[in-house]
Amino acid sequence: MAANEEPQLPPVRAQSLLSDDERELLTTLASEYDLTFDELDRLIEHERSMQGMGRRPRIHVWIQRHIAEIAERRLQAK
Amino acid sequence: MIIRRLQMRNWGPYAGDHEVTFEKPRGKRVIQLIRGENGHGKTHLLRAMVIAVQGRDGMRIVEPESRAGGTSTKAHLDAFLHDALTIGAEDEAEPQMRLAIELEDGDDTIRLERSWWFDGRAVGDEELVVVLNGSPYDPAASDARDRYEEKQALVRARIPENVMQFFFFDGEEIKTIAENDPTDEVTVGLDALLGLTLLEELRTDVENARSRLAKEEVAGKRAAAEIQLLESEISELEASQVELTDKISEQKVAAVEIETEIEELQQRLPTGARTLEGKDEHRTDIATRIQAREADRENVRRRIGDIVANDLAILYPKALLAKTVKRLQGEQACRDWERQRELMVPERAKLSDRMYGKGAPQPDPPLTKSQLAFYRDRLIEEWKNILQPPPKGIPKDQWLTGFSGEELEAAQLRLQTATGDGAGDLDAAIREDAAIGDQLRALTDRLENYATDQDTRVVVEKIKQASDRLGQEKRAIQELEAQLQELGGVLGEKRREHGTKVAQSTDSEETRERLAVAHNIIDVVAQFRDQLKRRRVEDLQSDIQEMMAALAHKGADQFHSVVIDPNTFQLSIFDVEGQQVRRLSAGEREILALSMLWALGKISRRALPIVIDTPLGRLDRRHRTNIVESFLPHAAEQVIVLATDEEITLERRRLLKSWISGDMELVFDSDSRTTQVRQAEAVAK
Repeated sequence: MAANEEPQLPPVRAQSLLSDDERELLTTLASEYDLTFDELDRLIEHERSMQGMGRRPRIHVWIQRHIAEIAERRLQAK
Repeated sequence: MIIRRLQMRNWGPYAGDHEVTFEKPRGKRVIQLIRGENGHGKTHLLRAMVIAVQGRDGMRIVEPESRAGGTSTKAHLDAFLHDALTIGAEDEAEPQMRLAIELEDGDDTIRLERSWWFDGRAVGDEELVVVLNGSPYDPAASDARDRYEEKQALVRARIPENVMQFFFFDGEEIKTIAENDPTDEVTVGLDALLGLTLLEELRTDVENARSRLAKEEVAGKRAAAEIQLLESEISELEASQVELTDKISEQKVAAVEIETEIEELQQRLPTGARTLEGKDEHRTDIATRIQAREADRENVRRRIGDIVANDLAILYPKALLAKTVKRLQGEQACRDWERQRELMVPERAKLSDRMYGKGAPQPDPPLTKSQLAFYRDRLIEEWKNILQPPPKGIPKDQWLTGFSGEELEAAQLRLQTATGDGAGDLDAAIREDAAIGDQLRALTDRLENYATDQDTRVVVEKIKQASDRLGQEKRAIQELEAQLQELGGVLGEKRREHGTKVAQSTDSEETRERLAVAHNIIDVVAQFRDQLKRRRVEDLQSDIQEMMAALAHKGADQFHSVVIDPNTFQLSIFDVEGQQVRRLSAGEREILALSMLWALGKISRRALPIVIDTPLGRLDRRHRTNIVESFLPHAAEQVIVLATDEEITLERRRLLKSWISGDMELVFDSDSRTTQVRQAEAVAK
């Protein structure tokens, strides 16, 4: 698999492991750092779905891409 | 998530093929009872479910010592699996051992099937088939190992291994936890179950990404510095390129000048000369020929003089000449002559002298061809006019004023003679004189332009020197052009490098932004992890306390509240009076452990079934009743209880009646040492 190829995840049903209060906490913290809940939740969900796969390079690629997307949005917003 | 079916082949006492179907929970009927005596296969059933879900890694759940001590080596696993194989099943049809479990997870159905062989191949090479909603899951990977790992990942995404251990456990497990310091379990549970491990791993992964970005940023800064250096180098190279180009142009101009010089020198060489020597001899020949032609011209002119003197001059009277000239001045035909009058006047005087004064012909200054022609034509014409009768109306005496009759007669007589031969001779002589003049001029020009041998040698030497210089110039140009080409290559390379660095440098702004985002994510995740930990520890505390209160033997058990240090996870128990309880009874420890497991399972927010083997263990009657009443019906969406009849007595079954969805018994054949799973009703019949 090429390093920049989109990781093919197994068909995992996305479900947040956070309660409403915890989601609110994450949202508040995220906004203080110019981030959104969704941006962080995607990271958490992805990390969770990749657990145990023994494919760390995949998650590294994915995280870098995710960071790049957020950065691009921020640059466009400036 | 609930378990719907379990299939076993040659799994411990379950010889051959067995299928256990679990009733679907209906309303509050969540408890599936499976009763059996000790040693009849309850623990094998629990282990079958765990191994069917997790495969070989599930051994860490069913073998607590491997979890604590890390003894899950391949040999250990092989031994474990081999021990699980029904005695004497090695020779059975393939595969010798198989476990399959069917799960319902929301709208999804998942079937996991694991098979093992004991015919010499590696026991650890278990085969895994995952069927999701009726379709076999076909991972993208081609390598068998990778395919297995991807299937495992699918399973773990649904039922993480470190979570499962808090849902599938036996009484021995509870006892072990209760007898040991529970702090370790809390620590593991909090890290894994509370999502802290997940957040920590995420933080580490983002940290890795940040490190890469930091390196990129450094590379970008380095690129910016290198760009300056490169631009300086390129500028110098471009200046050198211009300098070289100018130099080449100058050299080419110099070469062209030398070529022109050579051409001019070559033109100075005698035309058609086949050799460079002998020019002096040619010059002598030309000079001799000039002398000869000059002699010829002198003779011709002497002859002209003779003709004029003898045949014409004497016939031209002085008065008539004056008159003629005067008249000629008015003639239209003599305009050209008039223009040359200034020349004609002295010539006329000389002619007059020759005719009438000295009478001798003068070769020098020579008459021009036109002069001689003019004189001749005019003289002849005038004499013809003289000899003609006067025009009508003009008296004869007025026609030729100043001539005596004798003169006219004598002139007429001489003219008749002269015009016969003299005029023709004069004409021929004049033409001959002109031709000789032309030849002389040509010869003189030729002689003037004809190089001497010495001149030729000098020119040839100059040509040689110029050619040498031209060669040098051309070689220099070639060298310069080679240098220019080489320089062009270097320049191109530098420009490409510059382009690359500029691209790197241009990316740096984006890299800085990404770096900032990565920093923010790390900070947020770290803060969130800390706050989440604190909140969930509080929840855990509250849940443990709640379950402990429900399960405690009121009045006998001393614990009242639990406090967990969010930093150290140290668990402290306090009695009603707020005093810390240092020692717990065996029953209290088991209740505490069960409460912890329940609370951890609850806080993990995983809707997994709970499977408990021998849940009541060593508990006393009151504690057992509390667990049956307060724990089992509310533990999960599906609770599978593997118990002896001593634990779940008929009385307790009645107590649980409205929560039980199914009741099965393990029927053990002591002769064959095999077990069958049957519905309790069937047994009752």
